[in-house]
Amino acid sequence: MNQYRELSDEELIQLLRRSNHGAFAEIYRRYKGVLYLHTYRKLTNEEETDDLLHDLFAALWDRRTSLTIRDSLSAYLYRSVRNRVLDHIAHQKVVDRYEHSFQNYLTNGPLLADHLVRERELRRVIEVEVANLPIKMQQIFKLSRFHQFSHKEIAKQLTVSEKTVKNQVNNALKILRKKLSPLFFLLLSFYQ
Amino acid sequence: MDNASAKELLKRYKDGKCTPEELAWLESWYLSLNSDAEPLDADLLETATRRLEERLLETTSRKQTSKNRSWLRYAAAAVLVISGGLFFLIKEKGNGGYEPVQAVILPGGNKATLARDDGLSVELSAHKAGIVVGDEITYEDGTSILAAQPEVVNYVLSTPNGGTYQITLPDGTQVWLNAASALKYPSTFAENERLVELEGEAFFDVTKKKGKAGRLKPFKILTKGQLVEVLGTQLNISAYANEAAIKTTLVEGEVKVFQQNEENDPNGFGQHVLLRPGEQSVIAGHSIKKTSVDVTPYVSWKDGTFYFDNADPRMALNQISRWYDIELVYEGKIPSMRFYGVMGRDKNLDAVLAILKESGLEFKLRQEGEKHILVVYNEIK
Repeated sequence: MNQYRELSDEELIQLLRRSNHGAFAEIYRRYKGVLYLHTYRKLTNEEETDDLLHDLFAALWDRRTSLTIRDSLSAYLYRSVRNRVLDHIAHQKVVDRYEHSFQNYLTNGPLLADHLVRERELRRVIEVEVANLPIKMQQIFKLSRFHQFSHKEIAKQLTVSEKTVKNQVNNALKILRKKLSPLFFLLLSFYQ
Repeated sequence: MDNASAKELLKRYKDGKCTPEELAWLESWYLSLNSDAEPLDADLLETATRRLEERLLETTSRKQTSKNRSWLRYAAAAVLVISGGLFFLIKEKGNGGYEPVQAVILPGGNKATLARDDGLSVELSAHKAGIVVGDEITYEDGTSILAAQPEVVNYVLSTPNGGTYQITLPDGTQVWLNAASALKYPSTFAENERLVELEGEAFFDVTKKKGKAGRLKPFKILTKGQLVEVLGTQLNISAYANEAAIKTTLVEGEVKVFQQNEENDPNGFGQHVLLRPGEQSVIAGHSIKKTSVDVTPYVSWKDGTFYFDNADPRMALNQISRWYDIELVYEGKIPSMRFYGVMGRDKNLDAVLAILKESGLEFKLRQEGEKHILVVYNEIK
């Protein structure tokens, strides 16, 4: 009966602010796969990746009551991981590993001057790793995207306030699921 | 960019001295870094994320939360947080592991009966979680249960021990009914107020509605000894007949809690308190009192969790007895230790008992025919 699975990222954040451990566990569960793969790709070292992600999630928990996320949980996490990786790279002990690559890039690489473009690209680069996840983790991530999408989409379609929608969302989602492809329904049965 | 070298730029980043353009170069490079490398092996990824999970659990439970919201105090208990199929068990002190009790006692589930005041009664499906009252009554997925009635009729949704069910009322209000509880409601609400009756425990998420002359239409919840009036709100009411007090806990919004004047006066409500979010009213005996609380222990059942934070053993054991449908027997005085622990309500009884054992509870599980009995001993001095 883990209802956290069906919550949108926004709902999880609200619960997290109230120190709800279940919400924190679900946030970790959703994002651990892509964030780990992405960070490992950049650092190529398991231990450093472990430490970085541990610090990231531990800080998320520490700041839970004063958390203000201006856009979305995913954008927040992706920005956070990138900034932490860059901080790590700039650190004296490991900087040599990266200098050559960065120097090359300064000479040849395209400058993405617009930070919104960079952010969009960051999301793409991280979420493309979903394909490299073990099947179960893939499904967890994809299902959570569906829940995000559903809440907002339903609100748009019904043109009512999101709060009213949330009251009806469970009903609507259940009906939606029945209408979706058998593959999705199979996906869903994994979690029941 | 030829002026600055990579080395210098990285140093400036470390010192927080990058210009926006320099930062743009850094972040642009970051995106392409190692982009064509082989990803981490899936098995290694699984082990790594599991390892990380355990570490995180330790870290996030060791930290003390702010004064008013102490989540789990360290003096006692095992903390069990179940997520997905994974089991995280952290122990502060005490022996490792727990011995499972003999019988496997399953947790509660979706069980309820819907009865109409003309005598009709329907046992609701255990495979659905809730019903919606519109013109007709359907399950959440739209499957029909009962057709619309021409006149206004009253319904009672009731749950047995080990049962829980959800209902969406005609005005969109959602109610989660806990075990051994009942909610009485009309097929259509009156024009100037929305009135329901509750026995046991339920969590209400009340919608704001306008009635006559555009004024807000109050939602009223009547329990024996108490009347609660709300406008648009999230609250939990615990009004079990076998418990000494009626507790109303407000999560969001604003409510007025009225105490009933006398046993035999269903319309006489005198003393009242006004609750703000994070406040709870307690009606016991002839008094009504208000306190500030951490709402979590009172509402987490609705999210599928037992949440014991310095919990009174009788309260905790009552919750467990209702959900697992076991009888409680106290040998001697009721124990005085407090319980700490968090766990999913979807686990078998032995997992929950393990937490209580960690808190120092002495007990024995017995079976008499179909009945399961938890015998609770007073502490051995």
